[in-house]
Amino acid sequence: MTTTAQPTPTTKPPKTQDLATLTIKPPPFAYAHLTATTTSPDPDETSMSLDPLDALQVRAYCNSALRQFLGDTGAAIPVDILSVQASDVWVRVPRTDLSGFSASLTAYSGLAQGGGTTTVLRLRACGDWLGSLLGRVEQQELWAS
Amino acid sequence: MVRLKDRYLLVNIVYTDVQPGQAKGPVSDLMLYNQPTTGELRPQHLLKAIRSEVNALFGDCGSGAVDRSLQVKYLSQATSTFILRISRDHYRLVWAALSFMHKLPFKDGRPCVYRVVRVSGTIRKVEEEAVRRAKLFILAAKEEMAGKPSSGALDALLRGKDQGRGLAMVVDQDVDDLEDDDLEMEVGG
Repeated sequence: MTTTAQPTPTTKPPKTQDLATLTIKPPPFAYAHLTATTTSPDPDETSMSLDPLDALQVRAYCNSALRQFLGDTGAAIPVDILSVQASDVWVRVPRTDLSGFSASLTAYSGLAQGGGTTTVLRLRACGDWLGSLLGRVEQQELWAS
Repeated sequence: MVRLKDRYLLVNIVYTDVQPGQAKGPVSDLMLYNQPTTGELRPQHLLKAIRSEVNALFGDCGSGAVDRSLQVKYLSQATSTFILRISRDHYRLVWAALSFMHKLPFKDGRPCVYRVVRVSGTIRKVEEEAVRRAKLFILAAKEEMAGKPSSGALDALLRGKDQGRGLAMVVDQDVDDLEDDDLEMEVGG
């Protein structure tokens, strides 16, 4: 006669297990990729070449764009210039201010330089993750060149 | 038909360039701070001042949001009180602009403080509140002249409905339907 079976354990090992959990919090900053173009009043002469862009020029441009569109609260948005290369600019703003920042840059009509030319900073891409913005640029260059 | 919702702000002008006890004759200190305004203040001056302040603080975006629906509904120079109408979504911009204004909107205007004492969704409640405050003000001034150290009317004037938190301004919730984004704001005085 078989002995009575041991009482089966009430807790069975669960069929699914969490191996690892990761919480993605909203990132504190948002990033933007800007390109500088120069337009001149003479339509034949619209050229993309311009003097290499300076971080100070970018700072002044963003300041006047934000101040015109959003006033003092716009000028108080902390904009960090991450990198300036020839005519490409990478910029960082607090995430909640990204919509105001991009609207300001889009609405701004450009800084007038001497001789009737205006410099315009065009917003090429913006988002919460810097890696995806960089990847997008690389991807476009892959097919363009 | 989409209903356009508004907020009505009841604002007091409090004068800051008076020293207590300096008045000629028996005038209570409360009356010194809440003096009548000079006869030149017009609604257009106030509107222009508020609009330029909103433009300075919030730029083109803010002034575009506020310009359409900003209106001075009532201005009383005797009591230095006015009622503003502003759209519900942007009344905080106007409130912030009022906080930054520091003098009457003339050249070399007197220094003063614009104090928002009531926000409501309907103008009727704001009018009732203005009347109530005027009555309490008279009572408080009389009690102060009579020499009472702590005046019940003054407390009621400064503290508003809710004694516990010591706030002097209440946001009304007497709107027709209660929206989720309405805050029950009690501002300290």
